[in-house]
Amino acid sequence: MFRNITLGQYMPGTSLVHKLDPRIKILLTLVVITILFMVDTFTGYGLVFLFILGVILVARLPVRFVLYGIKPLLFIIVLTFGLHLFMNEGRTLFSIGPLVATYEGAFKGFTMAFRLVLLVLGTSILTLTTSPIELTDGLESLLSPMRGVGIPAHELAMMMTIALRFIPTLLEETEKIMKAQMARGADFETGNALQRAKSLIPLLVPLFVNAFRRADELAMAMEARCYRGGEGRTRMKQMKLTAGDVLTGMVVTAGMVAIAIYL
Amino acid sequence: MNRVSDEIIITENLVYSYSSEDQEIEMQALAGVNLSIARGEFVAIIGRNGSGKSTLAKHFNALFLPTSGTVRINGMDTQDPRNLWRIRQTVGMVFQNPDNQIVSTTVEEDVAFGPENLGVPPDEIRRRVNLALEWVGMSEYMRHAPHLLSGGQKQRVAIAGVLAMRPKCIVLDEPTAMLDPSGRREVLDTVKRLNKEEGITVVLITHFMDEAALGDRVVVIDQGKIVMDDVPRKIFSQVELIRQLHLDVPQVTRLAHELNKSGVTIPEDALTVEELADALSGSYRESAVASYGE
Amino acid sequence: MSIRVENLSHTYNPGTPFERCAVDNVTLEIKDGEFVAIIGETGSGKSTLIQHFNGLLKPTGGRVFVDEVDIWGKGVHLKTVRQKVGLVFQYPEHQLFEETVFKDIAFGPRNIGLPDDEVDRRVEQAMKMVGLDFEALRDRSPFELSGGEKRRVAMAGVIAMKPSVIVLDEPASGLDPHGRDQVLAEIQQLHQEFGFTVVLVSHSMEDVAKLARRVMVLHKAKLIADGSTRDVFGMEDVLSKAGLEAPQVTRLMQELARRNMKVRTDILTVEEAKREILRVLGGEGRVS
Repeated sequence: MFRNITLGQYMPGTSLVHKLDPRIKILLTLVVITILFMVDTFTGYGLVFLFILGVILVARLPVRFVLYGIKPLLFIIVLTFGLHLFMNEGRTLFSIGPLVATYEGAFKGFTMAFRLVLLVLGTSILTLTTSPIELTDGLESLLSPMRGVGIPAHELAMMMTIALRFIPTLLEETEKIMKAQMARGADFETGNALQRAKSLIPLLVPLFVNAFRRADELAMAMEARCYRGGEGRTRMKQMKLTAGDVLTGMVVTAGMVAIAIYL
Repeated sequence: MNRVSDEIIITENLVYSYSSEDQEIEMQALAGVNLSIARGEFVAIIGRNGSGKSTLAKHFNALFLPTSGTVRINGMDTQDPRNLWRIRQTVGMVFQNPDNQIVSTTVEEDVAFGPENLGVPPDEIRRRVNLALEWVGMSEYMRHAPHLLSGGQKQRVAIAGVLAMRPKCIVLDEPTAMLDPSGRREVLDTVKRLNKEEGITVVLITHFMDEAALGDRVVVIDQGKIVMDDVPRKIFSQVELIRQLHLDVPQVTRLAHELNKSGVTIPEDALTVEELADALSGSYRESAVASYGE
Repeated sequence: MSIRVENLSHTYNPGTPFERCAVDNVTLEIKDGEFVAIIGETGSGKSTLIQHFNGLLKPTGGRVFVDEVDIWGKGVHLKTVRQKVGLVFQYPEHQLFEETVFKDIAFGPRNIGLPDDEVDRRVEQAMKMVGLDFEALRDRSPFELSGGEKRRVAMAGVIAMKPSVIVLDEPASGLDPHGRDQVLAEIQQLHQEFGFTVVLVSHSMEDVAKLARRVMVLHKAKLIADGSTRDVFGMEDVLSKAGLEAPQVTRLMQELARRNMKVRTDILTVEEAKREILRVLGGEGRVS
């Protein structure tokens, strides 16, 4: 039942987008997100959309798969559109009882929904083309100058790695425990909110007990392999910024800023 | 002096006690263990649940420290904190649950974890990772996510992770308990090969008697003490004693023992199907000759 | 109580790049009172198959009948099916969650809505069946018990629902030889004394040979053999195709036969092997 999650899954590849330094990719994603909040014209959105589409093509990602990532958020997107459609004043488009849809609302709703879609697409390109390792390494590297102000960059990155490593394992385990309790007549689906919350106890207690046991064993295994924090640690994969990485970063940022200023 | 350097693990009067949480009783998990393991040896340790075998294993790379007595690894006392990282690099550990010892999200990154902790330069890590994965036959899975591998493959990745630290000895704590027969074979073949070809000392803790029979030597632990220590043949031919210790012997060994009790004189120390078949077809020919002569 | 599956198929994630067929057109019947083993490598489809027996998984093709009732038919309550067919997962102790042993075992009976006194009776009975001391353990926390005891508590939790079929997935895995013998002896007792129909999933051919009367072999989602234990363990080619090996004693007899000794090869236990060898060697004490 949890096997269908595709949102944000990494799709290995050798494209230019895959090879771009993860730090640049993270920063550029932030730039695109910021620009999306500054732009409010159709042309602006259009250009950002073309840019994202271009990246998807260059990265040779299957378009259907990328769009699949929007599915879990479809409800929120439709809701956003609906709210704007009916909540704005202006020329009447049509009406259902007391609810009046306006042209202005449709326009506003459409741009807001489009903005959300672009946000999801933009960030999922990052996770689709960057392995979890590169992501965490990139974050660690970007955060490390802030160690001085007390941000534990290595520890955060290690925690993220372990979390990413164990998500599939724990999902599998959740499914197994759920089934085992269902085999004993447990019911996770019916009843009111309180009953349903209560019915989760037989699921959550073993899940946590097992997670603690795993954490204990993992800690011991890490210690046995000489883990002692970030101090003196080397990495197999060194991140090296190439001129190409920097250039890509500059060009894309400049393009985005131009869109924000002129449109 | 020479003798000392021949041994990679030496324990002397090793005692490990802990106090159970609510009661104030002191429990002895290890009650005076004297054991030495020579370089290049393949030693199997068996014993019932709670016999102390796993506690003993965890002393071999200083995850546990003795309450009294000493443990020396390659001449280094585990009590001395300055030796800690050298000891853990000398003796690698592989644990029972393959899921709970893989740290990273790809196979190659996980194998790199140990050498990264040791501060090995990047190019050298790459070389070691490639070689270690080759040794365990997992090179083609280099970029795979560990949770998609089978149990046997995960354990081989765990072994590669230890090998990349260039240990002299590997301690495996029930590495096959959670695997199916083909997974078990994969892991054991790998371990045997590392021992024979790379000369790595192997300490294998197991509940499976046929696995223990692969060792050069079998150590039986009960109630925190070594109760038997000999070559597998000598250990398993003592069927009654082994059963008293809540352990088992391979089926063919038990059969040889039973047949002897019924008056068929064949060697009682057969460990494999072939050995017993050899012995029995010998007797069969004799009996055929005997009846021919009548 | 019988279980019958007809042309059962199960495909995970149909229509996605992750599509995988775990059970492929399997037809089988388990009759009332049988002791059946299902063997096969990890990934052969055993776990997926047994989860259809009590409706935890819905087939993507074919039908499942429990007591001749199609469990996915109209008006069938899956809860009733799950009460009739008890499923003990591998490492069942990982599903314990209550503060006391009693409460944990009572979870199932309470879910079916039984009155308190009946729940009491069932818990006591179930604990007795798996060899746990009711008075000594009922108020203990299950998390404080030894590994073997935890496993028994978890098994009792399923037995307390009074199923007529009990399906066990690798019930002895991770235990030491003695713990293994004990759990297997209890399972045999459940079959012989308490009349449960037992379906055992195991990697240990020795255990299967000792306990089961009938064996089914799964390989790559398909049922490739189904017959008496003696017959199946005689099929060397089928077993090796499935990545399995007959018990040591069976292989010994096959090896002896290859060496022209006139022995029967359908031998399952050490005891049987001993009798057969003594027979061909011409009786006790013949060779000495």
